[in-house]
Amino acid sequence: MTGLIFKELRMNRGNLIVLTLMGGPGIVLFWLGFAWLMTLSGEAEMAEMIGGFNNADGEPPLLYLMCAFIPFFATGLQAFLNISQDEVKKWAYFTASHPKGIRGAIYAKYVVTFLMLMVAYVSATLTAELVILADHLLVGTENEQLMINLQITNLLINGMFFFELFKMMIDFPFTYRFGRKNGEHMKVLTFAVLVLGGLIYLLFGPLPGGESGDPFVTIYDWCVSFAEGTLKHNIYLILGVILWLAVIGYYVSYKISCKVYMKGVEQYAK
Amino acid sequence: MQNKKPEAKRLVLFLLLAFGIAWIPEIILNKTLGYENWFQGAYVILALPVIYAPMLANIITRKVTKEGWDNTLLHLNLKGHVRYYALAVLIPFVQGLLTFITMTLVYGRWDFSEMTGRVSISDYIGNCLMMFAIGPLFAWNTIGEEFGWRAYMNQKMEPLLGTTGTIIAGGILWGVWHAPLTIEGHNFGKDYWGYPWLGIVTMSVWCIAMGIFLMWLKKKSGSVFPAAIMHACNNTGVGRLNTFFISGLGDPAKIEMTMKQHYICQIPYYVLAAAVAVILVLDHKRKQTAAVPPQIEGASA
Repeated sequence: MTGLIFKELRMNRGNLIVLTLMGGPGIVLFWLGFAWLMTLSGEAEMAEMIGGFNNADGEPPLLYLMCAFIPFFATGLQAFLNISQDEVKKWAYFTASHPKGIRGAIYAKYVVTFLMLMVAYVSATLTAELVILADHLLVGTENEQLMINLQITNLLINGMFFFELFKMMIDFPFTYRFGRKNGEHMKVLTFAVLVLGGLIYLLFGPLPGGESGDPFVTIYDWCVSFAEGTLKHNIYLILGVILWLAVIGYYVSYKISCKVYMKGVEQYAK
Repeated sequence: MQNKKPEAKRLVLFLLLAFGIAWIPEIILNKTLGYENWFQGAYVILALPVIYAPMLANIITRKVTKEGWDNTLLHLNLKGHVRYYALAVLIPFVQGLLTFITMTLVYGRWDFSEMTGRVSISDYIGNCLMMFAIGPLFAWNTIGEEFGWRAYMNQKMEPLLGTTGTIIAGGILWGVWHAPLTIEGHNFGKDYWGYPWLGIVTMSVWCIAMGIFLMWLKKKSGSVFPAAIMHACNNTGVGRLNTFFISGLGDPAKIEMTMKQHYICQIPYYVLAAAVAVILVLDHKRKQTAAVPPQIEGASA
């Protein structure tokens, strides 16, 4: 098993390095560089440009939200590439003949994908910590506000982690069963249905809060209420169950992928 | 027979590095930025080298002494050991349960309506489910300590001091390692009799008790990860979920335990830890007995 995981790590080392360096800290550097250039051109003050750091006047700290979202979107893409990188019939038949067999190979894929998600998690957390440092040094935000921002960002990071886990849990068996190309079609179709459902809800459904009309402000306000423990209607229980559905679902997804693997091999182009 | 001298040298080098890498920046940061700023404020990212000091010490010691990379315990070992991963999450929860129920029974009064009036049962279960899922993710943070203390120090110490010695000496060292933080009010504040020495002693007692569970998890699973997960769940406050069971003492969020209360409320947890320590010692003896080849009757030297 160690050998298979080692092979996955070797093949994905570039992805892991990119995730670590570019996923989170890259955002901060890009933002600071951009703010600095704007200051040089005299269009705005530095503190004004990075105003998105703090949530003065009820504005959400945009950069905090970015460091929670971007690393996980990058991981989603890289995890998909990781799962589909062995789509060669010869390799698939070799895998089946390996002592650890299909289960071993897929187990290694799932473990390394989970590791990628953890790297994104760590990268996002460290980025949030870098952001609060920059926020303090450049804008002068006080510790109390920084800690609230960090707490909210951590909440979002945790949320994004389980969202990605949930997405992968659905995504991977499709990719194994129908191959990369068809799996992608299935994924697009599934997400199109989800997006359509979401749009219908946003247009006609009851929206929580909805005073500001700005989705980022709504997300931020919701996170503040969540952290304060003031949400009602069994939200905590529902969320707790959803998190465990993602965890157990990831294991079930591995079992399904093992079952459908050989059927999927027949779909490979070469 | 393992040669004890080089092992002892490695252990000493490891301890010097683990303390040095952590204490030097801690003392400097405490003096320059202040504990509130670097450990719980804007400069929190600077805490990284400190919490990873034991891991760095493990790696450097292995490199310097050319020990190699055996017994790093970095395998997940999931097959047949999933229950230890589950226990890693549940032990801090049980610790909180025992502590806060004791607190209510000794200092407050049992009033279930007060408990459910503050937090509904549905919210309590929801919070538990969420923390059980999220707590282990913080293991990225605690692996730095566990890869040093459990995956190296304990392994080197046990052949030298025995299981009981490792539990006690290892716990004290681990507790004292936290001293620069304890002095600044970490965990216990500064407003107590015997500050800061009693704080350091209490931290060591706590580390001895927690170290027993961590050592047990490491030995049973053959991996450092369950220990890192338990440590993470402890740090993220899985046990504090059970402040739900506090009643007759006002708002649990505002309660600050005195040292005396701390010791009294932890008694059930310490008893449980002592029971696990006995199991660890007996397990070790059983293994040692099994390792000695049986003597054949009538065989002469």
